Amino acid sequence: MAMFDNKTDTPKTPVSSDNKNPILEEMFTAAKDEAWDATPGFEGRIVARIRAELNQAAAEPLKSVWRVVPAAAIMALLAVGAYFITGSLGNWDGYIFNSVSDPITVENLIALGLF
Amino acid sequence: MQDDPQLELWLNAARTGDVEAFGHIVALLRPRLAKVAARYAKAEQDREDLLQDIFLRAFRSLRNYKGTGAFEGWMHKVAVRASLDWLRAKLRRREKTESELTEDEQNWLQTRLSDNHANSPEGEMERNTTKEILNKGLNKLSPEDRTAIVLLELEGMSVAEIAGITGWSISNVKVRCHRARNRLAEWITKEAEGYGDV
Repeated sequence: MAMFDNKTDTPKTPVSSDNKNPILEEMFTAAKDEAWDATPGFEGRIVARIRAELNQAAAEPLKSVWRVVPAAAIMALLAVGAYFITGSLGNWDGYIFNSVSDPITVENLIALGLF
Repeated sequence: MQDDPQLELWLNAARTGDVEAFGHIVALLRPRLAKVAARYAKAEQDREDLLQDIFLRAFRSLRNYKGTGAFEGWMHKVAVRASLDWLRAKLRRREKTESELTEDEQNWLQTRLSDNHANSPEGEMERNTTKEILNKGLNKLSPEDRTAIVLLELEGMSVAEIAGITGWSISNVKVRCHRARNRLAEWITKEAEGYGDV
């Protein structure tokens, strides 16, 4: 039994020698020879599964794009809305509306209902 | 650097994403790792799934293999960790594991206890009964304790090797093995005593 006869400097005293059960030891001995093997064609199945995973991974960036597109579209719509509200982005000079020409202050934002 | 130049070639190719080359590695290591999978999973389909998980995880982690030790050793480490995770996932899913002895198994256990285990299990059928009982006992343990005792007693590994594979401290491994053996021994006694009630 390879019990704690480790190849290290750790104590060789088996920590569990006091709880050895003869039937349990018999069971361990009997169970050591495990003869199971996968059914024929295992290599083919694992290769196919890896290929499928790789294909899925290759499709992932496209999925991410489709996740980003709706958010980007909403942002674009908001920007376009802001453009029409402010009149022209080119005229943006720190004022909320060209027509109002008020500076961005908390009072003005409250007045506009934006804050 | 591997002892087997062919394995070295396949390994280098697989690291670049060559799935066919990895297929050759699978064919080479399957017999050994199938035995590992069989120690954690009982049903044929579970064993197949676990074995696939092991190789899948290995393929994904090939870049982490530094090439400093034997590749077989690294693969064994991957297999044990994948098996431990598989047991944990099974526990999380609350899948029922078979841990109740049949009447025949209880009978066998009772006989073994009463004849003072004078005769070792002989013959394929008796060995299978022994394995079946042990498997049911192992199902009673936590995934971690089960892994520790399986590696120690069934795979014949040293405490230090188990610590290296699992990432647990040496004292932790010893505690787990001690606790696992105690619980299994208690379970055997309890099951044998329960024979009269059947």
